[in-house]
Amino acid sequence: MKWSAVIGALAIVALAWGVLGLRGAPEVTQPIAFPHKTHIELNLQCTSCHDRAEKEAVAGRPRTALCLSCHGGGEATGEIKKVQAFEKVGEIPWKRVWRLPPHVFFPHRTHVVVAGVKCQTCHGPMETLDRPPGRPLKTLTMDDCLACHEARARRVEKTAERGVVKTARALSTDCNACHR
Amino acid sequence: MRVTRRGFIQAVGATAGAAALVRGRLTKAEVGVQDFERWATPEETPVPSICQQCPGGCGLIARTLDGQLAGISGNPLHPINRGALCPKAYGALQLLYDPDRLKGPMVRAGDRGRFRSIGWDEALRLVTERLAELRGKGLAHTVAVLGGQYRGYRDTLWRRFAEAYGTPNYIRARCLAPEHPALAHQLMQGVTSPLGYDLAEARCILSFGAGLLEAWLGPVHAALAIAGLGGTRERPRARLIHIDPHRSLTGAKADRWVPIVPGTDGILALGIANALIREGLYDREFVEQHTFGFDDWTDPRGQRHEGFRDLVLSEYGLLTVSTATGVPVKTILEIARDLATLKPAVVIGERGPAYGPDDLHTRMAIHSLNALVGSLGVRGGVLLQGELPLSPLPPVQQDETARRGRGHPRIDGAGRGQYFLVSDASQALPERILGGKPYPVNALFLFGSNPLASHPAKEAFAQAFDRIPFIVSFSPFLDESSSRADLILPDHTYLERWQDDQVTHLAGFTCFSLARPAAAPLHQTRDAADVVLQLAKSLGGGVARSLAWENFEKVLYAGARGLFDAGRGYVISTAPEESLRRVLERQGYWAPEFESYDEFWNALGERGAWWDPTGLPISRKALLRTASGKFEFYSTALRQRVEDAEKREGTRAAFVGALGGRDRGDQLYLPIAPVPARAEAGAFPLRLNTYRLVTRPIGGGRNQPWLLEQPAVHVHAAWERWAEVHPHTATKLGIKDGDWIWVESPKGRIRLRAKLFAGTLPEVVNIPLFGGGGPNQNDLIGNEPDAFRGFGLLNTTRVKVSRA
Repeated sequence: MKWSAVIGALAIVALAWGVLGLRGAPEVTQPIAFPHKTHIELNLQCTSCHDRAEKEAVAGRPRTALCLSCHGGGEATGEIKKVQAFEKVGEIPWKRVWRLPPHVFFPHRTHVVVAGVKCQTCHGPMETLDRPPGRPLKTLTMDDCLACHEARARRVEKTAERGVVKTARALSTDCNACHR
Repeated sequence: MRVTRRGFIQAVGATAGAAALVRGRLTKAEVGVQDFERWATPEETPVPSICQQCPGGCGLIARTLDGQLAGISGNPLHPINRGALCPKAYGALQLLYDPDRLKGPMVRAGDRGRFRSIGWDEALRLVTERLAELRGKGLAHTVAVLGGQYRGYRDTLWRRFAEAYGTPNYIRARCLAPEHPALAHQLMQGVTSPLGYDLAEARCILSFGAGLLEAWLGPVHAALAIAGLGGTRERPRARLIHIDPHRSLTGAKADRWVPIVPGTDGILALGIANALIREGLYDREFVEQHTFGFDDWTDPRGQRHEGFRDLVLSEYGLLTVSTATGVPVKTILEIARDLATLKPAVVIGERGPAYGPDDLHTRMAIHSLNALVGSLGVRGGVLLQGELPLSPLPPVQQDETARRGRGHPRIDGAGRGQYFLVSDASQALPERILGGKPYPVNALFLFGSNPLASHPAKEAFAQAFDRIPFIVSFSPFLDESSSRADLILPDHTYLERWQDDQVTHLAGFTCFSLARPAAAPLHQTRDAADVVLQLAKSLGGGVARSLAWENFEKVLYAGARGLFDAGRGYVISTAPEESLRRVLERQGYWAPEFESYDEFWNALGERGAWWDPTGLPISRKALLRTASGKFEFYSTALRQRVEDAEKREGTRAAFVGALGGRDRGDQLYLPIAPVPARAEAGAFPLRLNTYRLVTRPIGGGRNQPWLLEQPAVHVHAAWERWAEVHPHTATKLGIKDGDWIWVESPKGRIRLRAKLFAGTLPEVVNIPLFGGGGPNQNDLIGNEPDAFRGFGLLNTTRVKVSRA
């Protein structure tokens, strides 16, 4: 009886872990052990490689040609050699790590270019990583989104009250703004 | 009313006095009215002229009152400037009325003693005797002419004089030769005339340090084109990207200013080429059909050669390029994308100062971008500059003495050894004069040049002048060089003489400007061109027959006949007439406006210019005149020149040294600018970058106070000289805005006012090339070898800065 209760409890926990997703997303292994830290230390900006983030809703992953524009020449070793091997094969099969629920519309361009939000605000301290992250460094919830939008809306209101010419756009906290 | 005797006498006296008084006043008033009428209604005559303050060649209207010059405005009909002018144009009045102008010929008393006035006849006799004596002794080749920045028939006259007299030493000392195509363009496209950049029609202009709005070939012409980039309903907005170590006027007005480490422009161009190729953004069709050397290739002997693509992709990774140039990778990528997507695009790789010791390969690398984006021979891209249909002058009649003289090598060594690619090597001249190699100079003529102030080798020139027994200057002013001459034959200023201008930087049309004297000479000066003709006449023989015109006006009259006979183009006219002619020409009609050449000549003088806006071929074939008939990434012409020079001189070392210092095999003929090794800061940690303000005319403008007064708004300065230091550097050195500082190079040091300016890189110190007295930037600039222009590198000197 006692043992069966323990086994039962364990089974429930295992079920919850596996079925209900309490263990989180599975760890992702990228084809190239890309060190963000090294690249940021070379004065590259995030959008040097993730250039679509400034133009489109989806940031996407860098194209192989972009990697090769720096790593295309000379004798290469290690991971760079692997990158060069992809020149004739095609695109590097990067795996997606960050994924918002499908009912959330998050336009990168609006946040990065218009609002000037730093990438780290949502993605966490990527610049410290020597290896690609297996999981998102930061899990975004709706509270995070709302906190930012509401704080910004308050700032805009205060500015307007002071009679200063409005420079920032008022942010919507309407459900339809993101859930569309 | 009772009239007394006393009252009657008083009344008569008062009436007489009043009448006298009134009469007197009326007389004075009448005189005043007459004076006023004469003052207010002088005979006003507008005379078309040409600005000669820079290579722009803008059309002027000189306003004369009773024959005296009183004002300057733009010629609204002139196609180069359409009535607009830059500040320099107005300085012409102060050139003319400079109280310190030389009033007539001057000669030294004794052996370089004090100057004394002399008559023209005696002065010309002195020169003629000396020239005849040297010629008689078989020493014609030891006469040298040092010319500055001018063009057109004055250049033709001096060249003919040198050919007929028998000297190979007609040497031009200048850092920009606008009438010649850039060497890179000659080698990659085979063109023999300068290229035109169609700025007005381009959607993306990428300028590598060309000061389009202040100091390039024609700031007004460029400004008119750039003013139209804003976009209209018919035409989308265009984009100007300016790459320059200094945020110049062009940089400030550009859509994007990209600061760069001086001298690394070629490396950046190759980085952009890398991005264009890697991302597949280049014009594949143009590259495949119209270029040679892009891909690896095999020559008829079976030897394999590496192509431009592989070299760029393997050696010019964006991180490497970014480290060398200081331009972020993201910026390089964005420039490449703009260039490829905003078409037509044009890339300008021509500036006054050299890009550095790798100037040729830098220019080739930059020009490669035009080929990669397919901008050659298309509207809004790079066009061919048309040749003016001027009448060829009769051939020079050289006698035996002239032929023998011309057979000697040039004293500056141009065309040989280290300077095998240049036509003039003024930087080598003083050293060779001092060494007497290959022969001593017995007479030197200075025309439009002042090397003792404006040349990086000015100290060496000063020493060399001591070795030359007879120096003649044609300067209208007693400048540094003239003050060391033996004889001064002062020229008119340009508004007092006949002149022509053959501007060569135009896209889409050709133009010949003509100007009559706008004002009578103020002093006993003479047009130097007329003096050359007079000297030739006095020398007699073949020299006189080769220059048999009575005066310069007759030379122009003879040359311009070709424009009348050409059956195309027309003398500039009002806008409605111009439009009508354009419509007719587009449909294949051209109607002559004048019945005789004299009628044409008079109209040319009255309106100021002839132009042909429709006669230029716009096609890719017209541009590609190389041996392969294609744009050559791999320059077979350069290889041929190196091989010819090697055969002639039996050694290769000097050419290889000139082309980059080490034998890079095939890379010598490809547009490959080597990435320099990282240098330690050393004793001179900063780089000197000189730049030209829009108010700085040829010669410095020291006698034009209006121009010295014009403020440089970016640093709030006028009149004085200054050095621009980056605020970060200034903080480290404890320098505040307005402090006096020493700027010191291995050559010397000058004291200047510090201006803190963030529009540059922290390791760069900028000094404007400024007119007026005071410290001279050439006291800092080392006369480093300049194998591609022979002038001396201006922006490679390293300096240090300290508080004075």
